[in-house]
Amino acid sequence: MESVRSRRWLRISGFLNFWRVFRKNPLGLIGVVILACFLFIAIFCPVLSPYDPEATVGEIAAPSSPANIFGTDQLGRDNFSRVLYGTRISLILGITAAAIAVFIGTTIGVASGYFGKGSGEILMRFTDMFLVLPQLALMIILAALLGRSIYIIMMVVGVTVWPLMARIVRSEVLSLKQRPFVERAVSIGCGDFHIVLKHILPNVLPLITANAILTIPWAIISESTLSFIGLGDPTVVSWGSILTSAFKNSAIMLGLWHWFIPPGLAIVLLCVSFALIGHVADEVLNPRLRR
Amino acid sequence: MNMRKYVIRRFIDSIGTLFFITVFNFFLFRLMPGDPIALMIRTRRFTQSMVARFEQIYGLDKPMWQQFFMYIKNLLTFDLGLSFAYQTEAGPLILEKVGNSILLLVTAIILALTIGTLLGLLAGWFHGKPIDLSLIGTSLFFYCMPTFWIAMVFAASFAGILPISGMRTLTLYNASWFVRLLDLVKHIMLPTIVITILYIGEMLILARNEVSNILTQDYINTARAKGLRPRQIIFRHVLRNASLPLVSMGGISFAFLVGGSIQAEIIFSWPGVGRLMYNAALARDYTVLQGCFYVLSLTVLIVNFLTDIAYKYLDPRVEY
Amino acid sequence: MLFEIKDLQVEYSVPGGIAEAVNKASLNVAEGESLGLAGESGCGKTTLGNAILRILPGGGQITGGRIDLNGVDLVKLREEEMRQVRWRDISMIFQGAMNSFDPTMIIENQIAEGILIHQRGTSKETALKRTRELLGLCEISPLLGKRYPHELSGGMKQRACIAMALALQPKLLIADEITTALDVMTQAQIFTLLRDMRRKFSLSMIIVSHDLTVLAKNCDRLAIMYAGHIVEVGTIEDIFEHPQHPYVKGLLFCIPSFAGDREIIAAIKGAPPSLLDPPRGCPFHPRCPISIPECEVEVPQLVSVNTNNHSVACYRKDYKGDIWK
Repeated sequence: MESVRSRRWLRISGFLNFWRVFRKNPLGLIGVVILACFLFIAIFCPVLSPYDPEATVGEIAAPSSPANIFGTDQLGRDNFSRVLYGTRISLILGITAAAIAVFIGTTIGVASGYFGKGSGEILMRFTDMFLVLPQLALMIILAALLGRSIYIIMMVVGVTVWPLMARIVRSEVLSLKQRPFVERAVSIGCGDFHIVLKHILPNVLPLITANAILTIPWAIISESTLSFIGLGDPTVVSWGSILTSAFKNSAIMLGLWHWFIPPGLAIVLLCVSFALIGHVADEVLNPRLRR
Repeated sequence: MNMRKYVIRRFIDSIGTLFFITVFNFFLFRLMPGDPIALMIRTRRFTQSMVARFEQIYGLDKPMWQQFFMYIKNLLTFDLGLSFAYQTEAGPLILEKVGNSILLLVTAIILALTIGTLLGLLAGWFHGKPIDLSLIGTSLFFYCMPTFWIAMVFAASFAGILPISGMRTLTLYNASWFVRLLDLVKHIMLPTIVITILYIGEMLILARNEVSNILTQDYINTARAKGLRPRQIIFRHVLRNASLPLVSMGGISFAFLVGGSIQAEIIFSWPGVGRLMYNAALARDYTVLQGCFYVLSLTVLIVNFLTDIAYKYLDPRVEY
Repeated sequence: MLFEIKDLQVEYSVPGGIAEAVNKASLNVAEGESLGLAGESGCGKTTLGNAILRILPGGGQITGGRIDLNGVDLVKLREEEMRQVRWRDISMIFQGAMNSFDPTMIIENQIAEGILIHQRGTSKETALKRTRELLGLCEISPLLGKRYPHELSGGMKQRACIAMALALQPKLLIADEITTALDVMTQAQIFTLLRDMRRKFSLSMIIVSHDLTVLAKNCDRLAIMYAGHIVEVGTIEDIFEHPQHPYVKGLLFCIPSFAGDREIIAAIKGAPPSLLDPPRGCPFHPRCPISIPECEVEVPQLVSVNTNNHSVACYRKDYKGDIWK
């Protein structure tokens, strides 16, 4: 049996290994750095932003100037401050919504995979049918019906993204079920719950983690799309809402690049950082046999 | 399993899914807290004839299951209810826009599949080399862009060069068919490009991974040993095998593609179901929302069915 | 001499450096003769086969030597010329018959492809007719030609591979571990078929395998490879009854015999060397019980033993004791 000391050493060396892999994969490191910047902004935006994001501080739709680096919006609010504050919503919403999706998806995926014929198949068909529903359309309807608070948005995004996770988890669980150690557990007489908890879940975890990270960009983009369509929470500053006011105020026609480029770029950068980290995590956690 | 049996089974499957969509669509709107449709009918002001019409459609005083059957009956007669916002029949309103959306969607998916496959082929053939890495990098970047933002950037960039609004130039209504066709092409270009950019990226990465995998297979070795030229190997053996995951993903991606087309329709004022849905959402026009959602889901279902058939045609190994 | 390889050198670029997969290998095959190429996994025999057809994967390169087919040096040919040689003069059957066929095409189309590629004027019907003849020769019902690969069993697929390889009646056929994945009964059937084909078409063959018993039954001569070097070549009798190289003696000693007293089978201790950083001199010397300082200096060349056809690459070839007891 392992001693407590050796288990701690295992954890430390595991962490060092993880760090080493990131060093070998410079892209992953870039992702971490970008994410760290965004986290910094999200936490310290009250200090970092020159103005209150809701306060009228300048002329309407003013162009870029030293006072307002990204110009102002249709109410004279400083765009730069609004972009900085938007980081909070995107991060919180993105991660929470992704967490909801991962949770639902994993539960259904594990259940569907583990229970095989019968209830498992039914769950799978249910999941596949869900995939036929166009996600954005569904999100629009749910948001229109349920209202416009952040929590609803979180839920709405989470609820529309889970089927993909469920499918991935399910196929992994199916292949795990064939493995000898599961058969052994069954033959010893372990209960279903025990097998799932102690044997299946720990082995599906690497796959879930990597995919969960990759779900976050999708959640962030979905949230901003909903905001853009006008169904987001009107009381919070979101990159999507900045973009919608840009669109509605003819920023495209008038070529007001300073208004609509920064929020979009912010979305892209934040998502790219998660995508890079997720990609590296996938390579680390799910080593594939190379020919 | 031969093709005929497969088609029949998939068709039966699709009917099942269709039923699911129908049920889901109905209960989605009725089981929401506050029963918005009932609420809306009661609180807004409508003319007598409209109230009567609502009664005919929804039968609000009847028990829920009866309402459900009325709903199904209405669907079969293409009666999609009454639009709250426009105060006309929702059915014709939606159906006249369906064609426009389908035009956009079909163009987009064909472009995405073909360009994605070809670029993926390129990337996979030169696995690890600069062109491969730059293609993947670009795809990743585009995949992280919201479609509506890409649309905005493109609209702003091409404002003077290509039309960025609507489907046709009205003043050309009595020009020759060729001029009108050209005009349509000009109008459809930007929205299509914007939708496909995302999906080219996804298809590219799928194709590339599959191509890399295929190139290590023994039958490619056999082909080389037989003396085939690289071009022959690619077009006879690699392409067909590589397109398989694309076709199978194509069906699922189509649901996401619809989301992209909704955004493109909004930015480019394309008169399709997506833009209708957008306006309906803002106006809380639940009838139209319900009808649009149904039509879009149905479209995805049909496309899924077709891609499944196509997959079976390409890959003889597939069982039901 | 129909086919001769002289001092062939094949290198692979791998992340760790350059691996010498084939090191100054020489062998020859006469017309109608069947040469076995034996050795453990990773010794370079598959690389040799691939090098002959010049279908080495990405990182591999022929860096020296000659491959002579009827007087033409294949190493010096341009790619288009080599493409003419492939399948028409030399063809190959691969190890994974499971995967040698494209899963999305029916069998007969793939066999016909080989014919159509090389004989431009041929019509598709003629090619298919020939295909069906070949399938019949290989004891496969021509009807099966219209099937997809996944609908055939392993043995049938392997026979279809043989039919495909013989489509253009090549002079030399390379069979790379063709029965490794098959059961013993099917193995026997496949090799019987190959022997028949050999006689019918006066084929020369190189049979690559790690299974000495298979080679003993189906080859006239045998070459043993170790770590990219050919260490001994000779007729079947020569090798099995008068092995000279310590490694070969060790291999044969590993085969238990039904007759005679019960003996303890000795294993050869150690493992084959890394091809990235091979030992100086003879590649086997680290594991060899009778190695001498001379073995570490220079790689031994193949020298004749008694008869003309038996050669061995070892400085201790005259050692007369039991090495592996």
